[in-house]
Amino acid sequence: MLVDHRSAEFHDFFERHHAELARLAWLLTGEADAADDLAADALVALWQRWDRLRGAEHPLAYARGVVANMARERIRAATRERRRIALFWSRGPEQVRSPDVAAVVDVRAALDGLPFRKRACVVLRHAFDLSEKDTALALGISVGAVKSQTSKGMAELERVLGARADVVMGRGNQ
Amino acid sequence: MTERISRRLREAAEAHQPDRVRMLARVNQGMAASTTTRPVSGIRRSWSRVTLAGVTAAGVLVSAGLAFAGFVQTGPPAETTMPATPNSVSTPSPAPPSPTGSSTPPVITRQDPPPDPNPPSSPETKTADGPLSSKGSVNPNSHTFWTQDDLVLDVAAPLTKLTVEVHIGQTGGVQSTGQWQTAPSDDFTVTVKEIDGEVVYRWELKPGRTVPAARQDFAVQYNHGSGARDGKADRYGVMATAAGRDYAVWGGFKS
Repeated sequence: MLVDHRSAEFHDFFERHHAELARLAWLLTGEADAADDLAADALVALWQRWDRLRGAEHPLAYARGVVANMARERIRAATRERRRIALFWSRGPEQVRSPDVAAVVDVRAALDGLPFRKRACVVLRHAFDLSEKDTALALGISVGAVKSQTSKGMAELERVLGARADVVMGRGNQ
Repeated sequence: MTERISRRLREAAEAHQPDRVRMLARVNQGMAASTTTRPVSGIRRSWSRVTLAGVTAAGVLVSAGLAFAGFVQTGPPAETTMPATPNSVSTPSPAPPSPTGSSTPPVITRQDPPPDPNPPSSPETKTADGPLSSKGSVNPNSHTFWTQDDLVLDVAAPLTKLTVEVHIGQTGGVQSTGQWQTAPSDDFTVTVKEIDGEVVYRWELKPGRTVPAARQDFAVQYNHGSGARDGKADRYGVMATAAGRDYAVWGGFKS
Protein backbone atom coordinates (compact mmCIF):
# COMPACT_ATOMS: atom_id res chain seq x y z
CA MET A 1 0.00 0.00 0.00
CA LEU A 2 1.47 3.27 -1.02
CA VAL A 3 1.64 6.36 1.08
CA ASP A 4 0.76 8.61 -1.82
CA HIS A 5 -2.44 6.82 -2.68
CA ARG A 6 -3.79 6.89 0.85
CA SER A 7 -2.69 10.44 1.28
CA ALA A 8 -4.33 11.56 -1.96
CA GLU A 9 -7.55 9.83 -0.99
CA PHE A 10 -7.50 11.47 2.40
CA HIS A 11 -6.77 14.91 0.97
CA ASP A 12 -9.70 14.45 -1.34
CA PHE A 13 -11.86 13.74 1.70
CA PHE A 14 -10.47 16.89 3.30
CA GLU A 15 -11.43 19.02 0.31
CA ARG A 16 -14.95 17.68 0.23
CA HIS A 17 -15.75 17.81 3.91
CA HIS A 18 -13.54 20.22 5.82
CA ALA A 19 -16.01 23.11 5.52
CA GLU A 20 -18.92 21.10 6.85
CA LEU A 21 -16.88 19.80 9.76
CA ALA A 22 -15.61 23.28 10.63
CA ARG A 23 -19.15 24.64 10.53
CA LEU A 24 -20.36 21.83 12.74
CA ALA A 25 -17.61 22.65 15.23
CA TRP A 26 -18.52 26.31 15.03
CA LEU A 27 -22.20 25.74 15.73
CA LEU A 28 -21.39 23.44 18.64
CA THR A 29 -18.74 25.63 20.28
CA GLY A 30 -19.36 29.14 19.04
CA GLU A 31 -15.66 29.80 18.57
CA ALA A 32 -14.70 30.48 14.99
CA ASP A 33 -10.93 29.99 15.02
CA ALA A 34 -11.03 27.19 17.53
CA ALA A 35 -13.69 25.51 15.41
CA ASP A 36 -11.34 25.30 12.44
CA ASP A 37 -8.56 23.89 14.62
CA LEU A 38 -10.93 21.44 16.22
CA ALA A 39 -12.20 20.21 12.88
CA ALA A 40 -8.62 19.89 11.62
CA ASP A 41 -7.70 17.85 14.69
CA ALA A 42 -10.69 15.63 14.09
CA LEU A 43 -9.47 15.08 10.55
CA VAL A 44 -6.05 14.09 11.84
CA ALA A 45 -7.74 11.59 14.14
CA LEU A 46 -9.56 10.30 11.10
CA TRP A 47 -6.28 9.98 9.19
CA GLN A 48 -4.80 7.89 11.97
CA ARG A 49 -7.57 5.36 11.42
CA TRP A 50 -7.80 5.87 7.70
CA ASP A 51 -6.78 2.36 6.75
CA ARG A 52 -9.70 1.00 8.67
CA LEU A 53 -12.19 3.72 7.84
CA ARG A 54 -11.56 4.12 4.14
CA GLY A 55 -13.14 0.75 3.54
CA ALA A 56 -16.08 1.51 5.79
CA GLU A 57 -19.10 3.26 4.49
CA HIS A 58 -19.19 6.04 7.00
CA PRO A 59 -15.90 7.88 7.39
CA LEU A 60 -17.87 11.12 7.38
CA ALA A 61 -20.16 9.94 10.16
CA TYR A 62 -17.09 8.99 12.11
CA ALA A 63 -15.57 12.42 11.53
CA ARG A 64 -18.75 14.16 12.67
CA GLY A 65 -18.73 12.05 15.80
CA VAL A 66 -15.14 12.99 16.54
CA VAL A 67 -15.97 16.68 16.05
CA ALA A 68 -18.93 16.36 18.42
CA ASN A 69 -16.84 14.63 21.07
CA MET A 70 -14.04 17.14 20.81
CA ALA A 71 -16.49 20.02 20.97
CA ARG A 72 -18.07 18.60 24.10
CA GLU A 73 -14.67 18.15 25.72
CA ARG A 74 -13.71 21.67 24.83
CA ILE A 75 -16.89 23.11 26.26
CA ARG A 76 -16.46 21.11 29.44
CA ALA A 77 -12.90 22.31 29.84
CA ALA A 78 -13.95 25.87 29.18
CA THR A 79 -16.72 25.59 31.73
CA ARG A 80 -14.29 24.32 34.34
CA GLU A 81 -11.89 27.10 33.50
CA ARG A 82 -14.64 29.67 33.75
CA ARG A 83 -15.60 28.41 37.18
CA ARG A 84 -12.03 28.32 38.31
CA ILE A 85 -11.20 31.88 37.47
CA ALA A 86 -14.71 33.01 38.34
CA LEU A 87 -14.85 35.34 35.44
CA PHE A 88 -17.39 35.68 32.77
CA TRP A 89 -16.14 33.68 29.87
CA SER A 90 -16.18 35.89 26.88
CA ARG A 91 -16.94 34.42 23.53
CA GLY A 92 -16.04 37.81 22.29
CA PRO A 93 -13.23 38.57 19.93
CA GLU A 94 -14.11 36.25 17.09
CA GLN A 95 -16.87 38.16 15.45
CA VAL A 96 -18.92 36.64 12.72
CA ARG A 97 -18.56 38.49 9.47
CA SER A 98 -22.01 38.01 8.14
CA PRO A 99 -24.42 40.52 6.73
CA ASP A 100 -26.86 39.40 9.33
CA VAL A 101 -24.60 39.24 12.32
CA ALA A 102 -27.20 39.82 14.96
CA ALA A 103 -29.40 36.99 13.73
CA VAL A 104 -26.49 34.60 13.73
CA VAL A 105 -25.45 35.66 17.20
CA ASP A 106 -29.00 35.06 18.39
CA VAL A 107 -29.01 31.55 16.98
CA ARG A 108 -25.62 30.81 18.47
CA ALA A 109 -26.70 32.13 21.87
CA ALA A 110 -29.86 30.07 21.72
CA LEU A 111 -27.83 26.96 20.90
CA ASP A 112 -25.59 27.63 23.88
CA GLY A 113 -28.67 27.44 26.04
CA LEU A 114 -29.23 23.82 25.08
CA PRO A 115 -27.57 20.88 26.79
CA PHE A 116 -24.89 19.46 24.53
CA ARG A 117 -26.69 16.42 23.22
CA LYS A 118 -29.80 18.35 22.31
CA ARG A 119 -27.65 20.96 20.67
CA ALA A 120 -25.79 18.34 18.63
CA CYS A 121 -29.02 16.67 17.53
CA VAL A 122 -30.63 19.92 16.50
CA VAL A 123 -27.56 21.06 14.61
CA LEU A 124 -27.00 17.82 12.73
CA ARG A 125 -30.65 17.31 11.87
CA HIS A 126 -31.58 20.88 10.98
CA ALA A 127 -28.42 22.83 10.13
CA PHE A 128 -26.92 19.98 8.12
CA ASP A 129 -30.06 18.13 7.04
CA LEU A 130 -28.86 14.78 8.29
CA SER A 131 -31.36 11.97 8.61
CA GLU A 132 -32.22 10.66 12.05
CA LYS A 133 -30.23 7.55 11.23
CA ASP A 134 -27.09 9.45 10.22
CA THR A 135 -27.37 11.67 13.26
CA ALA A 136 -27.64 8.63 15.48
CA LEU A 137 -24.63 7.11 13.74
CA ALA A 138 -22.51 10.22 14.23
CA LEU A 139 -23.39 10.67 17.87
CA GLY A 140 -23.44 7.03 18.79
CA ILE A 141 -26.96 7.16 20.22
CA SER A 142 -30.21 5.51 19.24
CA VAL A 143 -32.59 6.83 16.61
CA GLY A 144 -35.22 7.13 19.33
CA ALA A 145 -32.92 9.35 21.36
CA VAL A 146 -32.24 11.49 18.30
CA LYS A 147 -35.97 11.92 17.76
CA SER A 148 -36.77 12.99 21.29
CA GLN A 149 -33.68 15.16 21.80
CA THR A 150 -34.22 16.92 18.49
CA SER A 151 -37.86 17.69 19.07
CA LYS A 152 -37.23 18.96 22.59
CA GLY A 153 -34.29 21.00 21.40
CA MET A 154 -36.23 22.54 18.54
CA ALA A 155 -39.08 23.41 20.89
CA GLU A 156 -36.67 25.27 23.13
CA LEU A 157 -35.10 27.09 20.20
CA GLU A 158 -38.50 28.12 18.95
CA ARG A 159 -39.40 29.43 22.35
CA VAL A 160 -36.19 31.44 22.70
CA LEU A 161 -35.83 32.62 19.13
CA GLY A 162 -39.52 33.15 18.60
CA ALA A 163 -39.59 35.54 21.54
CA ARG A 164 -36.58 37.42 20.23
CA ALA A 165 -37.94 37.45 16.72
CA ASP A 166 -40.81 39.57 17.99
CA VAL A 167 -38.33 42.13 19.17
CA VAL A 168 -36.14 42.30 16.11
CA MET A 169 -38.88 41.65 13.60
CA GLY A 170 -38.42 43.24 10.24
CA ARG A 171 -34.67 43.52 10.25
CA GLY A 172 -34.17 40.18 8.65
CA ASN A 173 -36.33 40.99 5.66
CA GLN A 174 -34.25 43.77 4.27
CA MET B 1 -42.05 27.74 12.66
CA THR B 2 -39.77 24.70 12.66
CA GLU B 3 -38.87 25.42 9.06
CA ARG B 4 -38.02 28.97 9.99
CA ILE B 5 -35.71 27.81 12.78
CA SER B 6 -34.13 25.27 10.43
CA ARG B 7 -33.40 28.00 7.95
CA ARG B 8 -31.83 30.18 10.60
CA LEU B 9 -29.68 27.27 11.74
CA ARG B 10 -28.49 26.68 8.20
CA GLU B 11 -27.72 30.37 7.80
CA ALA B 12 -25.81 30.37 11.04
CA ALA B 13 -23.76 27.39 9.85
CA GLU B 14 -22.97 29.08 6.57
CA ALA B 15 -21.99 32.28 8.32
CA HIS B 16 -18.84 30.52 9.37
CA GLN B 17 -16.26 30.66 6.62
CA PRO B 18 -13.58 28.16 7.53
CA ASP B 19 -9.97 29.10 6.89
CA ARG B 20 -9.07 26.30 4.53
CA VAL B 21 -5.37 27.05 4.38
CA ARG B 22 -5.08 27.12 8.15
CA MET B 23 -6.96 23.85 8.42
CA LEU B 24 -4.91 22.17 5.73
CA ALA B 25 -1.68 23.25 7.37
CA ARG B 26 -2.83 21.89 10.71
CA VAL B 27 -3.97 18.62 9.16
CA ASN B 28 -0.72 18.18 7.26
CA GLN B 29 1.21 18.91 10.39
CA GLY B 30 -0.80 16.32 12.28
CA MET B 31 -0.37 13.81 9.51
CA ALA B 32 3.37 14.36 9.41
CA ALA B 33 3.57 14.03 13.18
CA SER B 34 1.60 10.84 13.21
CA THR B 35 3.74 9.42 10.44
CA THR B 36 7.05 10.38 11.95
CA THR B 37 6.37 9.65 15.58
CA ARG B 38 5.07 6.17 15.06
CA PRO B 39 8.06 4.54 13.50
CA VAL B 40 10.84 6.92 14.38
CA SER B 41 13.07 3.99 14.04
CA GLY B 42 11.10 2.74 11.08
CA ILE B 43 13.19 4.19 8.34
CA ARG B 44 16.36 3.37 10.17
CA ARG B 45 15.21 -0.17 10.60
CA SER B 46 14.12 -0.37 7.05
CA TRP B 47 17.40 1.02 5.86
CA SER B 48 19.17 -1.62 7.78
CA ARG B 49 17.17 -4.26 6.03
CA VAL B 50 17.45 -2.84 2.61
CA THR B 51 20.02 -4.14 0.31
CA LEU B 52 21.46 -0.91 -0.81
CA ALA B 53 22.12 -0.81 -4.45
CA GLY B 54 25.76 -0.51 -3.68
CA VAL B 55 27.80 0.19 -0.64
CA THR B 56 30.25 2.18 -2.68
CA ALA B 57 27.56 4.26 -4.23
CA ALA B 58 26.06 4.80 -0.80
CA GLY B 59 29.34 6.04 0.57
CA VAL B 60 29.73 8.39 -2.33
CA LEU B 61 26.30 9.82 -1.74
CA VAL B 62 26.96 10.28 1.94
CA SER B 63 30.11 12.23 1.23
CA ALA B 64 28.23 14.22 -1.39
CA GLY B 65 26.08 15.67 1.35
CA LEU B 66 23.15 13.29 0.99
CA ALA B 67 23.85 11.86 4.37
CA PHE B 68 20.80 9.77 4.93
CA ALA B 69 19.94 9.59 8.54
CA GLY B 70 20.48 6.11 9.76
CA PHE B 71 22.32 5.29 6.65
CA VAL B 72 23.33 1.77 7.11
CA GLN B 73 25.67 -0.56 5.41
CA THR B 74 24.90 -4.18 5.82
CA GLY B 75 27.30 -7.04 5.50
CA PRO B 76 26.34 -9.75 3.11
CA PRO B 77 23.12 -8.55 1.60
CA ALA B 78 19.99 -9.96 3.12
CA GLU B 79 17.60 -9.60 0.30
CA THR B 80 13.87 -9.26 0.24
CA THR B 81 13.50 -8.37 3.85
CA MET B 82 12.10 -4.96 3.12
CA PRO B 83 8.76 -4.79 4.90
CA ALA B 84 5.93 -4.39 2.49
CA THR B 85 4.54 -1.43 4.37
CA PRO B 86 7.26 0.34 6.25
CA ASN B 87 4.71 2.72 7.67
CA SER B 88 3.07 0.02 9.63
CA VAL B 89 6.24 -0.98 11.38
CA SER B 90 5.28 0.26 14.76
CA THR B 91 7.55 -1.47 17.19
CA PRO B 92 9.52 1.42 18.56
CA SER B 93 12.16 -0.80 19.97
CA PRO B 94 15.61 0.40 19.09
CA ALA B 95 16.80 -3.14 19.31
CA PRO B 96 18.57 -4.36 16.25
CA PRO B 97 16.56 -5.95 13.51
CA SER B 98 14.90 -8.10 12.57
CA PRO B 99 12.13 -10.61 12.68
CA THR B 100 13.08 -12.09 9.36
CA GLY B 101 16.80 -11.78 9.05
CA SER B 102 17.76 -13.70 12.13
CA SER B 103 21.21 -14.32 10.79
CA THR B 104 21.78 -10.70 9.94
CA PRO B 105 25.37 -9.81 10.59
CA PRO B 106 26.28 -6.85 12.74
CA VAL B 107 25.49 -3.58 11.13
CA ILE B 108 27.63 -0.54 10.87
CA THR B 109 25.38 2.36 11.49
CA ARG B 110 26.18 5.82 10.43
CA GLN B 111 23.61 8.04 12.07
CA ASP B 112 24.37 11.70 12.68
CA PRO B 113 27.01 12.19 10.07
CA PRO B 114 29.84 14.02 11.74
CA PRO B 115 30.31 17.63 10.82
CA ASP B 116 33.58 16.81 9.23
CA PRO B 117 35.04 20.04 7.89
CA ASN B 118 36.91 18.18 5.19
CA PRO B 119 34.83 15.25 4.12
CA PRO B 120 36.35 12.95 1.58
CA SER B 121 35.30 15.12 -1.21
CA SER B 122 32.73 14.13 -3.73
CA PRO B 123 31.69 16.68 -6.23
CA GLU B 124 28.66 18.79 -5.41
CA THR B 125 26.80 17.13 -8.20
CA LYS B 126 27.35 14.21 -10.44
CA THR B 127 24.52 14.00 -12.87
CA ALA B 128 25.72 11.11 -15.02
CA ASP B 129 27.22 7.75 -14.23
CA GLY B 130 27.27 4.73 -16.52
CA PRO B 131 23.75 4.17 -17.80
CA LEU B 132 22.31 6.91 -15.56
CA SER B 133 21.80 10.49 -16.50
CA SER B 134 19.81 12.84 -14.30
CA LYS B 135 18.48 16.34 -14.10
CA GLY B 136 16.64 18.07 -11.25
CA SER B 137 14.47 21.11 -11.75
CA VAL B 138 11.84 23.10 -9.91
CA ASN B 139 8.57 22.74 -11.73
CA PRO B 140 7.50 26.07 -13.23
CA ASN B 141 4.01 25.67 -11.77
CA SER B 142 5.41 26.04 -8.28
CA HIS B 143 4.36 29.12 -6.37
CA THR B 144 4.91 30.97 -3.13
CA PHE B 145 3.24 28.35 -0.98
CA TRP B 146 3.76 25.15 -2.93
CA THR B 147 6.58 23.54 -4.85
CA GLN B 148 7.03 20.58 -7.12
CA ASP B 149 10.55 19.32 -7.73
CA ASP B 150 11.04 17.19 -10.83
CA LEU B 151 13.76 14.63 -11.26
CA VAL B 152 14.28 13.23 -14.74
CA LEU B 153 16.33 10.07 -14.79
CA ASP B 154 17.42 8.81 -18.18
CA VAL B 155 18.14 5.13 -17.95
CA ALA B 156 20.18 3.52 -20.71
CA ALA B 157 20.23 -0.05 -19.40
CA PRO B 158 17.73 -2.07 -17.37
CA LEU B 159 18.13 -1.57 -13.63
CA THR B 160 17.71 -4.44 -11.22
CA LYS B 161 18.03 -2.23 -8.18
CA LEU B 162 17.08 1.38 -7.78
CA THR B 163 16.78 3.71 -4.84
CA VAL B 164 15.79 7.31 -5.42
CA GLU B 165 15.77 9.84 -2.62
CA VAL B 166 14.72 13.46 -2.69
CA HIS B 167 15.60 15.52 0.36
CA ILE B 168 13.73 18.73 1.02
CA GLY B 169 15.28 21.10 3.53
CA GLN B 170 12.88 21.74 6.39
CA THR B 171 13.10 25.49 6.19
CA GLY B 172 9.92 25.87 8.20
CA GLY B 173 6.41 24.80 7.41
CA VAL B 174 7.40 22.27 4.78
CA GLN B 175 4.68 19.64 4.48
CA SER B 176 4.58 16.95 1.87
CA THR B 177 1.48 16.98 -0.29
CA GLY B 178 2.42 13.99 -2.39
CA GLN B 179 4.73 12.50 -4.96
CA TRP B 180 4.49 10.49 -8.14
CA GLN B 181 6.59 8.73 -10.70
CA THR B 182 6.12 7.58 -14.27
CA ALA B 183 7.02 3.96 -13.53
CA PRO B 184 4.27 1.69 -12.19
CA SER B 185 3.52 2.49 -8.55
CA ASP B 186 3.39 -1.17 -7.81
CA ASP B 187 7.09 -1.54 -8.58
CA PHE B 188 8.16 0.71 -5.74
CA THR B 189 7.94 1.00 -2.02
CA VAL B 190 7.51 4.68 -1.34
CA THR B 191 8.08 6.38 1.97
CA VAL B 192 7.99 9.98 3.09
CA LYS B 193 9.61 10.78 6.40
CA GLU B 194 10.96 13.79 8.14
CA ILE B 195 14.46 13.04 9.28
CA ASP B 196 16.94 15.37 10.85
CA GLY B 197 15.59 18.54 9.40
CA GLU B 198 14.73 17.20 5.99
CA VAL B 199 11.61 15.79 4.44
CA VAL B 200 12.85 12.65 2.73
CA TYR B 201 10.99 11.00 -0.12
CA ARG B 202 12.24 7.59 -1.01
CA TRP B 203 11.45 5.18 -3.80
CA GLU B 204 12.80 1.68 -3.44
CA LEU B 205 12.45 -0.72 -6.33
CA LYS B 206 10.85 -3.88 -5.04
CA PRO B 207 12.97 -7.01 -5.18
CA GLY B 208 12.56 -8.88 -8.42
CA ARG B 209 11.32 -5.85 -10.34
CA THR B 210 13.23 -4.20 -13.13
CA VAL B 211 13.26 -0.66 -14.39
CA PRO B 212 13.47 -0.66 -18.18
CA ALA B 213 15.87 1.45 -20.16
CA ALA B 214 13.75 4.54 -20.63
CA ARG B 215 13.22 7.98 -19.24
CA GLN B 216 11.89 7.85 -15.68
CA ASP B 217 10.35 10.87 -13.98
CA PHE B 218 10.03 11.34 -10.24
CA ALA B 219 8.26 14.30 -8.69
CA VAL B 220 7.70 15.48 -5.15
CA GLN B 221 5.25 18.11 -4.02
CA TYR B 222 5.10 20.04 -0.82
CA ASN B 223 3.57 23.04 0.86
CA HIS B 224 5.79 25.55 2.54
CA GLY B 225 5.26 28.72 4.48
CA SER B 226 5.10 31.93 2.58
CA GLY B 227 8.19 32.80 0.64
CA ALA B 228 9.27 31.43 -2.68
CA ARG B 229 11.81 28.62 -2.75
CA ASP B 230 14.41 28.24 -5.43
CA GLY B 231 15.28 24.60 -4.94
CA LYS B 232 18.60 25.37 -3.31
CA ALA B 233 17.63 23.54 -0.14
CA ASP B 234 16.59 20.44 -2.09
CA ARG B 235 18.78 17.56 -3.23
CA TYR B 236 18.35 14.21 -4.90
CA GLY B 237 20.37 11.05 -4.90
CA VAL B 238 20.02 7.89 -6.97
CA MET B 239 21.64 4.52 -6.50
CA ALA B 240 21.16 1.83 -9.09
CA THR B 241 22.49 -1.48 -10.23
CA ALA B 242 22.72 -2.43 -13.91
CA ALA B 243 24.31 -5.63 -15.16
CA GLY B 244 25.76 -6.29 -11.74
CA ARG B 245 27.49 -2.93 -11.40
CA ASP B 246 26.54 -0.08 -9.11
CA TYR B 247 26.08 3.49 -10.17
CA ALA B 248 25.13 6.68 -8.42
CA VAL B 249 24.11 10.15 -9.44
CA TRP B 250 23.12 13.14 -7.34
CA GLY B 251 22.49 16.81 -7.58
CA GLY B 252 20.16 19.68 -6.83
CA PHE B 253 17.05 21.25 -8.33
CA LYS B 254 17.40 24.30 -10.53
CA SER B 255 14.64 26.80 -10.86
